[in-house]
Formats: sequence, C-alpha cells, structure tokens
Amino acid sequence: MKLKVRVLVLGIALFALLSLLILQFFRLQIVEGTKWKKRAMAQHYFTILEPAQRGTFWSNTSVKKGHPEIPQKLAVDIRKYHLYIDPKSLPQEHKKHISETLFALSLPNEVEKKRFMVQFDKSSRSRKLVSWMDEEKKKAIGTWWYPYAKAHKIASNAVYFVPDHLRSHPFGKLFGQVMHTVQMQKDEKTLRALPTGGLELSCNRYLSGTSGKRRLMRSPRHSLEIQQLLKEPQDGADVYLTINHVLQAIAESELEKGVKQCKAKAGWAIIMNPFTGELYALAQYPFFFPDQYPVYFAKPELMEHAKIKAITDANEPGSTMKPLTIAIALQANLERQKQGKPPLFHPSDKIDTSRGNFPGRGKKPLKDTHFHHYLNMNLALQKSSNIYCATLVQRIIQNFGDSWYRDQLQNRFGFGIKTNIELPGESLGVLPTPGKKHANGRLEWSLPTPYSLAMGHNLQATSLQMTRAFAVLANGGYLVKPTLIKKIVKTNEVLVDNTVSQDFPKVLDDEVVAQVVKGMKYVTKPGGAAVVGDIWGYTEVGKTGTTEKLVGGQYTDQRHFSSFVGFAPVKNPSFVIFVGMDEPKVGFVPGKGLNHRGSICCAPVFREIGSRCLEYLGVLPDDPGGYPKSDPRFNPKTADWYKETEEMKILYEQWNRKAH
Amino acid sequence: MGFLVRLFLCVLILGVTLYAYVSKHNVLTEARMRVPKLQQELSSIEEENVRLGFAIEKFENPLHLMELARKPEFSHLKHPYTTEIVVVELPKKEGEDRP
Repeated sequence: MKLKVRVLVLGIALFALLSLLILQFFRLQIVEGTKWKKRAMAQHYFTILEPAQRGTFWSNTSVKKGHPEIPQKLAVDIRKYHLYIDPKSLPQEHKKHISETLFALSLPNEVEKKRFMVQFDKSSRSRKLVSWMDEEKKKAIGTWWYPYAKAHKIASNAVYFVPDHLRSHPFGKLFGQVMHTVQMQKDEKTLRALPTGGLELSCNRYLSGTSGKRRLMRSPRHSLEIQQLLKEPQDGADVYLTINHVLQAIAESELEKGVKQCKAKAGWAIIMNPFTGELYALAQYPFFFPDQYPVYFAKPELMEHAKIKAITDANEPGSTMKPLTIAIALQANLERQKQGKPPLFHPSDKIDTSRGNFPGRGKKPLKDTHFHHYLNMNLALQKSSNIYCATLVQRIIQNFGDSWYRDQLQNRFGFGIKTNIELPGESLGVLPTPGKKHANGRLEWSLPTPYSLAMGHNLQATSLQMTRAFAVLANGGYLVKPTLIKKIVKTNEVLVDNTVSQDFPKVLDDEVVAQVVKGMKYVTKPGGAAVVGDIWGYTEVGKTGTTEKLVGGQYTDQRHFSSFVGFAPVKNPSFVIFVGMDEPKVGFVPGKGLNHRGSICCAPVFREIGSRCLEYLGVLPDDPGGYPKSDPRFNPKTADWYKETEEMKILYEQWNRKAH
Repeated sequence: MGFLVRLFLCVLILGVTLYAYVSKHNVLTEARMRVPKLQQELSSIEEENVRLGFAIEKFENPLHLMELARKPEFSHLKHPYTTEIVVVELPKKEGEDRP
C-alpha cells in the first residue's frame, strides 16, 4: 500500500515537474518567443547598412550633329578605404612598431603625425587613422600587417579597413560651381552622401538611392553563411545633363583669359540653345574645384566662388535692355494697329535725341554717352542711345500706362520671375511695380522709373534671365524655359524627361523679332558699340551693357557690372551667349577704350567663345567675307551687312553733321 | 534467392543514389565556397575598371585635349563641318528594335 502511495506521489511529482517544464517551454517559445529569438539573433548576427551607389552626371554628347560621342561622366564614385585600428586589441609592446609602420605606409605627412599616434593610446575599440586611402596603400598595409599579426599572435582585425566611395571629378574644376560635390563625411545613420550645393543638392533625391541591409554572423567559422543580403540597395538615378563638356571647357578657358585681361573680380558665361532652353555651358571664373570644397567653405572670400553667380546675383543689365525696350515699343505699335490707331513710331523715323529732358538717376537728366542729334531705330541700337529708348518708353506709357509697360517686361521676357532652373538659390531679380512700396516706405515706381528701365537701370536681372530674354529674339519670339537636365534615368526607368519638345509661349510677333534682330546686327559692325564682338566668318548679333554697382545704397563709378549678350549665326542660331564681368578694373586702355565697358571687356570673350564653339559644332561659316579689313579673307562684296553699314554711316553723318 | 537479389539491388541503388547525392552536394559546396572569393575578385575588377575609366577620363579632359590640339603635330586636325558628314544608316537586322 505504502509502495503504491509512494509511486503515486512520485508519479504526480514527476508529472508536475514535467508540466512545469512544458509550461516553461511554452513561456519561452510561445509567449516570449519573439523576444528571445530577437536576443539570440542579436547575439549571433548583426546587420549593417549596405550603401547604395550614388547616381552620376553625364555630359551631353549629342550637341554635334552627326558626331556620336562616347557617353562622358562628369562625376565618378571611386572606392577608397578608411584605415581603422582597435587599440584594445593591440598589445602594448607592439604598439610603437605598429604605429610607426602604419604611419610610414599610409600617411607620409609629418603634420598629421601627432594626431595619428595619439589614436593608439585611446581606450576604444575603433579609431580612424586615415581617410580615403587608395587601393595601393591598402594593399601595402595588408601585405605587411597580416603576416605580422599572425607571427605575433595579434588579432588580425585589430587593424582593418572600411571601404567607402569618394566622389571624384575626372575633369577637375570643369563645371565645378554648377555640379558641386558631396561632403567627405556621410550621414552616419543613412550612409547617404551630403551634398554641398549645386546640382548635387537640387538632384539629391534622385541621386541618393536607398541603402540596403546586410546581415553578418558574428562567428567567422561558418564561412558560407557569414553574410546575407536582407535588402538589396537601390542605386541612385543618373542625371543626363544638357551641358556639353567641350563647350563648357571652351567657355571656361576663354572666360578665364577675359577676366584676367580686364582684371575683373569675377566673370561668368552662359551658352544656351535658344530653341529648347537647354544650357550647353555655364562657366564661372575664379573656378571652384569640387574636390577641394573644404578649402572654399573655410574662407568667406573663397566661399563666394562656390555659388553660381549667373543665377544667384541679380544686376542691373544696362544697355543690353535696349533691344528689349525697342521690341516692346514695336509690339505696342501692333497693339495700336489692332485698335486702329497710328503707330507710336516707325523704325526709320528720325527722332531728335539732342534734348535729354528725361528724369534720370538722382537729379541728373538722362543723357547719352556720346551726343547724337538725330537717330532712327537701327542707329539708336548701333550707338546704344539712352535718349532714343527713353523717347519710345515715354510714348508707350503715355498711351498704355506704366502697368502695361511693366507687364510687358514680365510677361514677354520673364523679368521679376524665376526661370525655375534646376539649381538652388535662384534669384528672381527685381522688377519695380507701380504703387508698390520698398521696405523703407519709398515707392518702387516713381517718375524716372520707366525711363531708367528703358536703358536697363532700376531693375535687376540675373544673367540667366537676360540670356532667356535674348533667346526670345533668337528663336523667333518664344519664351523658353532654361534647363540643365535632359533626363533622369534609374535602371532603365526614365524619371524625368525634358527631351520631349515643349510648347513655349509665343511672346513676340515675327515682324517685331525680325526688326530688332536687323537693328542689332549693326552693333558688332563698323560704327557699332561692340565691333570686337564680331565673330569672323559668321553672322552674329549682340548688345553690350555696362552699369554702375550699388555700394552702401549709392551708385559708384568705381565698380561696374559689364556684359555682352548675343547669338550666332543670325539665321537658325546655334546658341545664345551671355558674358558677364563683375567689377572689371576701371580705366582707359590705349587703343581700345574704357576697360570696364562691356564692349571692351566682354565682347571679345563673346567673339572667342562663339568662334570656337561654332567651329567645334561644325557650323558652316555663313559670312565668308566677314573679316576685318586687314584680313585677306575680307570681301566687301560678300561681307554680311557691309553695304548696310556703309549706308548707315552716311545717314548718321548726314543727320548729325547737318545738325552741327 | 530472389529476395536477396532484390535487397541487394535496393541497397545498391540506394547506395549509388546516396553517393551521387553526396557527390553533387560536394560539388555544390565547393562552388559555394568559391562564390565569396569570386565575388571579391569581381568587385575588385569592377573597381579597377572604374579607376582606369577615371584615369582615361582625366587624360581626356577637354582642356587637356585642347592643349594637345594646339601642338604642331596635331595642327592638321580640324572639326569637320556638318555638311561634310555623311551618316550611313545600317540596314536593320531581323527582329532588331532600332528606329
């Protein structure tokens, strides 16, 4: 009986124990299963982010017709290595030898030696010794380190490398300001690159891609299962630019020469396709070397060269505004014609320009740089007359009002509104509005304002806005949208496509465009304001501009912004070129004229860029006789506009000699 | 006798199948062991390719090419005019999707 009871008790006890065990299993496996599984996984595995390859920029190699070129990258991600040590795993007696050998193999720079050596004494498991080492140095260190670690029974991973991609630029400074770069240090959480500005910043969401996840086993014994890709990294999209690297190089080299020649503070140039708004080049000097960006951001005076002044800096355009003023006046003629009224003026009208009774800057009345008694439209453009343009604007506002004139500037040429180019920091410029007040309480639009606007004063426009405005004249009257991006492609999927033809608004009538372009042809011909802007062998039109800069709220005659904008060839233009010089040296150059004037410091750069770009593009010379008179290729019979220029000269002398 | 033969045949087939299975597994394991090394090699070749591409592009910097073009030995070279270029369209191959 006793035995039976004992067996029963034992059985119950065993059953209870077993039940407890099952309960415990249930608790561990079912109730808290997720928690323990997670902990176990954390003990055996760890996950790291798998960085995605950043997208790159491609040059536009399709600008030359019939010349298929090899696709050209403007930025390349190159694998480099960071050298790390685990100071705790390094035996004290070997530290000196290891540190000295590593220093000799990796960083032969005595300045860094102290910082380098200190890392070995840190109580840490991970210290970075050297950043961005190339493959050769890594191999040299590995060849020495692994046998050394084995021989002295040191953990081989006490010295290790972390691979990373360095944004590198094969063409160095080329297109530096616009493309910019990414910081050397990446975002620690996402491993994403941090852009420093320019297209890298504005296209960052396309270029970045998405990091993947890789699971690594802590034990290296299971060599086959040591790594597992949990999530595939998605590489960033590639940006196909409208910029052509050769045209960019031409613009940069000629600009550099021009800036040095006129001793300007800075200069920039734009080359744009007038029909599509595609920018072929956007150059700026002094250059910005993307690979040396920390140097620029460390010094305020250098930081200025890291921004794209053609879109961030709005300046008064000056006389380059005059063809646009005349275009508005001609357009006003058409409006009058629709209303059944006589035109405001006729291009051949002899207009008195001797009396400058228009209110000008300050208390001074408007006047021309050189005195003229009578001018017609073509002569006014050729001689860049302020009074002629002011006369036209006077007639415009008398008949249509101030607001109408202001609206024409905005709606027809895009002043006062952003071009929405794909770059950060674009300025919208300043276009005064009647009735609107400045922050200081003064009215933006006063009595002299329209006359100032007529000659490019009292408004501020970016160089890109001016280029777009001239594109209207080059393309037959369409207001294009400037762009730097042809398309953005991510693994065969086109995310952005600007290659499809767009319908741009028609803002000028054909006859208006034809008359203004005809008038502008005299500018670069003998008797014009910018003879040195003549692209020999080709037809071209252009206009110069020189304005005083505002310093401390006052205009100064010691600092100027000078420009030249034009296009070539005249029929079916290949491009519009803008050249701007910031603060060229003020002074007289014997044999040339005033150094700071756009006709002296910018027009030759326009000619050189235009000439070389047309040659590169393979454009057939359309003015084979159009060379300087001293050139044997000069032919007065075939030279474009030679006859008309001679006639203009006679007319000018008749009108102005008679008056004298 | 018949039973023993059948048993022998079964064991034989089982043995051969097992051997084939283990052998295949070995081949597979060998291949799997080679994968990380090959992957590393491929990656290093790809990186080398990028580096070489970068070096070539550096050499082909348009500014550098322009400097070369100014040298007398290349003075005979010029950009052809668009009118001098003849574009030859190759006949389409069967099934080729080319505009």
